[in-house]
Amino acid sequence: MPKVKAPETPKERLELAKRYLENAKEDLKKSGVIKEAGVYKDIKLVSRASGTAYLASLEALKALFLAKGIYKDIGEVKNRLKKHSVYYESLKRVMGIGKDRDILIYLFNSVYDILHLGGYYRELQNKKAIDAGFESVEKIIRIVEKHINGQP
Amino acid sequence: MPKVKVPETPKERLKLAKRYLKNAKEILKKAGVDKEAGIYEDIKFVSEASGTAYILALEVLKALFMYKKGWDIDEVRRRTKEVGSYRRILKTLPIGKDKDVLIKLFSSVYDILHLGGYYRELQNKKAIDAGFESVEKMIHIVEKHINGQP
Repeated sequence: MPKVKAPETPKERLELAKRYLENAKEDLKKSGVIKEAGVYKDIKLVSRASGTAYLASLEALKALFLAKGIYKDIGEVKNRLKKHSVYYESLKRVMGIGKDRDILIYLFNSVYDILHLGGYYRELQNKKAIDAGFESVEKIIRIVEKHINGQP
Repeated sequence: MPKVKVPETPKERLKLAKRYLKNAKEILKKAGVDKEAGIYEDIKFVSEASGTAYILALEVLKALFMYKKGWDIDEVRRRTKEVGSYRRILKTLPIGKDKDVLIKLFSSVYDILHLGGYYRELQNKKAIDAGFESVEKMIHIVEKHINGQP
């Protein structure tokens, strides 16, 4: 038996998302800044931080899908969510969160383009852009937190 | 003969760049902002504005290449047929630390405005604004270097 239990409930998944985000922020801090060019200096750390923050957004969305019954358990979540477009499709099926659904879609778009494609893959170093990606992840976590409150 | 002369000197090219910037900013304003999601709303305008702002980054670099390499506009055109060539030429310029700054700024502009805003429907306001800010910084730097030129 593995010693660390995989997070199974929406709340546990959201906690995981927050841990990812904290780690990502620490990496980003270490990367340093070139002020004249407005960029984070160390691409290795920017890339790792962006990758980790992107994962945080995926975990937050998984928590929402579990809480809203889009998937019955974490096993089904893992089975279904094998590419990023499925997150959009699943988001569109989330009911009862009103306008937040559209906001989440927009935020996830920003995170995907800025952090996953930009920071992680394409060596995007622009500080304001990367920071905007991180801010979007934080907003995703806050919105999801609001909607899963009261869940285990 | 065409009525409008093609801008041929570094200064004329830079002027063209500034015109592009003004246009791009006007277009971006039309896009509107969704504050809650932190995005520009109308992707058609975001894409158009980003595309225009990216083109102007290219114009700014062309102006610098003309000035520093002594090329005429035809030669600049011949030598800059893909984005990689802008970077390669930039790396050969003797302009001190500004060279590295320009390379970083151009990378930001390419990723945020060309790939993001123009192609991939990136709408995030802060990111797009950061792209525009990088373009403006490029103009300032190049302007500093070609000042005094025709």
